[in-house]
Amino acid sequence: MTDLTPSLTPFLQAELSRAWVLAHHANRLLDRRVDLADQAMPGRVWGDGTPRFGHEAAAVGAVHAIRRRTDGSGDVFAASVRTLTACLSLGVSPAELFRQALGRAGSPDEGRAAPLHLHDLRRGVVGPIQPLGMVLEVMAGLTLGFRLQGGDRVAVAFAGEGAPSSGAWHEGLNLAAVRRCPLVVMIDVPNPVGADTGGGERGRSLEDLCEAYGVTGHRPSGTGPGAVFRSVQDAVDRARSGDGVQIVEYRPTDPDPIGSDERLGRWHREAVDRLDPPFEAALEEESIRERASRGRIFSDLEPESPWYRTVPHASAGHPGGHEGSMDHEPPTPGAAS
Amino acid sequence: MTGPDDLPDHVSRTRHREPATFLEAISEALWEEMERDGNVFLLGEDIGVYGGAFKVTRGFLDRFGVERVIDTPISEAGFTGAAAGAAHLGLRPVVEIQFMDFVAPAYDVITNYIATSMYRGAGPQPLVIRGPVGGGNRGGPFHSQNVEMAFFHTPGLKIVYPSTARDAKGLLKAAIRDDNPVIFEEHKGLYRAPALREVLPDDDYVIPLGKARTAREGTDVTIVTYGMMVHRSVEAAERLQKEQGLSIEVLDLRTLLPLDDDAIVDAVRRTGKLLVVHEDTRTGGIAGEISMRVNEQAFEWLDAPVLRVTAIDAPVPYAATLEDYFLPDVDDIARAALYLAKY
Repeated sequence: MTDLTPSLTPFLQAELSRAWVLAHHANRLLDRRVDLADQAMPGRVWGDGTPRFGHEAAAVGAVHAIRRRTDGSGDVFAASVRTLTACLSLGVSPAELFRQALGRAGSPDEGRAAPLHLHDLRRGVVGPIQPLGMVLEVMAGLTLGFRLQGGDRVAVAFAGEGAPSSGAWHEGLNLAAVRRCPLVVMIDVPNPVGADTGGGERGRSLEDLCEAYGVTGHRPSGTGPGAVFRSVQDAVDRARSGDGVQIVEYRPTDPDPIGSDERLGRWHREAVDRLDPPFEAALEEESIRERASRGRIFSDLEPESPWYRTVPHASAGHPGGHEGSMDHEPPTPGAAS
Repeated sequence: MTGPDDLPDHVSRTRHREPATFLEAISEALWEEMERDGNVFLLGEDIGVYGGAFKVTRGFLDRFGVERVIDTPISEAGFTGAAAGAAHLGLRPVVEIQFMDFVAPAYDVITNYIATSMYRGAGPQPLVIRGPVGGGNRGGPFHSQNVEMAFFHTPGLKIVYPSTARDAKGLLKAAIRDDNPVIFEEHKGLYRAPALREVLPDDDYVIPLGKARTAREGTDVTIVTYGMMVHRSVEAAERLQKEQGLSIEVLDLRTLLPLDDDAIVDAVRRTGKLLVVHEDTRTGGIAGEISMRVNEQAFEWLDAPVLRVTAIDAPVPYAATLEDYFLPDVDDIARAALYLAKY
């Protein structure tokens, strides 16, 4: 196991904090938005919200450990439905996320895929893949392709907490391990290998998994984005330098993700309380220009914002790729979201 | 073995103006496409060191190296999914399924991910999934199936099933250059069939996907077929010519998806009688779809009901007597064509 803990620069700490706040805020509002859309337009909303239980903290930390580009030349982040909002740190705008969720015109795929299956390799995002385990098959090939093309690109893959129970996940992991692909595999705690969907479990440890596949394991020292960032950064460095597949076992901030609706609701309310102070603090740190930009972003996020009622549903016709589908330019790579 | 220019002999027949088998035509297509385009690479079980179960890729590892000729784990889903990931980067993977019966584990990623990618806005999937199919080799139920109809219902895929060495090479080159995912079926009974050896054109020829060819001209009945059954049908047509004086046309589909509706309808308009022959099993076979399209587009030109000759609805048997009974043969085809001619 490795857990390097270099000191983060104040700038990076602030960036991670802002990204996390934004992602978490987007998560909560994404769920609210879909709920409202369900009420306003019964039968016209595709899918539903997918609750996140602090996964965004780990995802934001992981995303900041990779090379972020908007021209298709950077590293790749494979999102699960619970970690998709980390693509806000890769240049995807909140408006794009919501348009995707609601099948609206101007979404990256013009309403073709499911609500959270946003995919944009120009910005390094492989959208959530279902069945879940398939993501590692695809990422094994993507990282094989990195090697074939030369260079030193790396991919970080979230698959979702049930994926390690699927054969596809293991086939992809095995292929990537055998070929020493530059792939970082993120798995949740509790490690769900040997678990069913009803709570039954005969869990295997990260150490068991790594020994079985001959790969390196990492365990962050905490649940926040900074701790995950440090651990994934080490994993990414090792993968980039030719050390093959790395597995990072992370823990969402909510220690018990499967619970009652009442408990879930309480958790969300508490999360709002927990988040607001750092959120406000982050805003205070912004310059006037950034404040204006952020104001636009958060006006998009508000459930009552004009675009919510005025942006039409996607129409027939082939999406024809992503070019021209964005309503504004993504932020500069490496900048705060 | 290598030829005079140190190329493996099975990829240099055309260069030396020697006749190539169906299998050698496939090897030549792969070799030439890999020479032409550095984005083309191969994945599959035992395709590198061993050269493939049927030796299609013998010698490829030495020429193209381990990064482009990848011996995979025995995990069809895993390496087919990996091809999808590589295709996202603009690479053009060619997946060999050792026997196409084994493509079933990869059905998930092919139909859920690869076929839908372009539609979902996730970009093209320029990959080929190829391998041996078909019965008559006493391979039993695990090594003899035709898989086309498992994928025919999936929008986003193309399906190619050549019947000659010339077509195998030209269609495979087209499939590799196509931006859509292509299922490429190779009847193993054709691989080394002596009668199919021919000197192939020495230019970089490509046969467009979606275009049928007339394998035999005729005026009394049209047989629409593909793969091994093209040869059975031509044999039946020649027998009926000799014994009954009938003129039977044989249309080789070459590509099953997309179907060449124009060629089928044109043939029906000329002969008024249609027999569909396929080695695949009967229920849910492609004959049903072809019949429906003719019903929609050329009903007025029909002078008889559309008939079909197919394998029976059963797993492919192993024992020779059982498999011979299971597969359509020349007698079956000739009997049905004669019935239509006299209708």
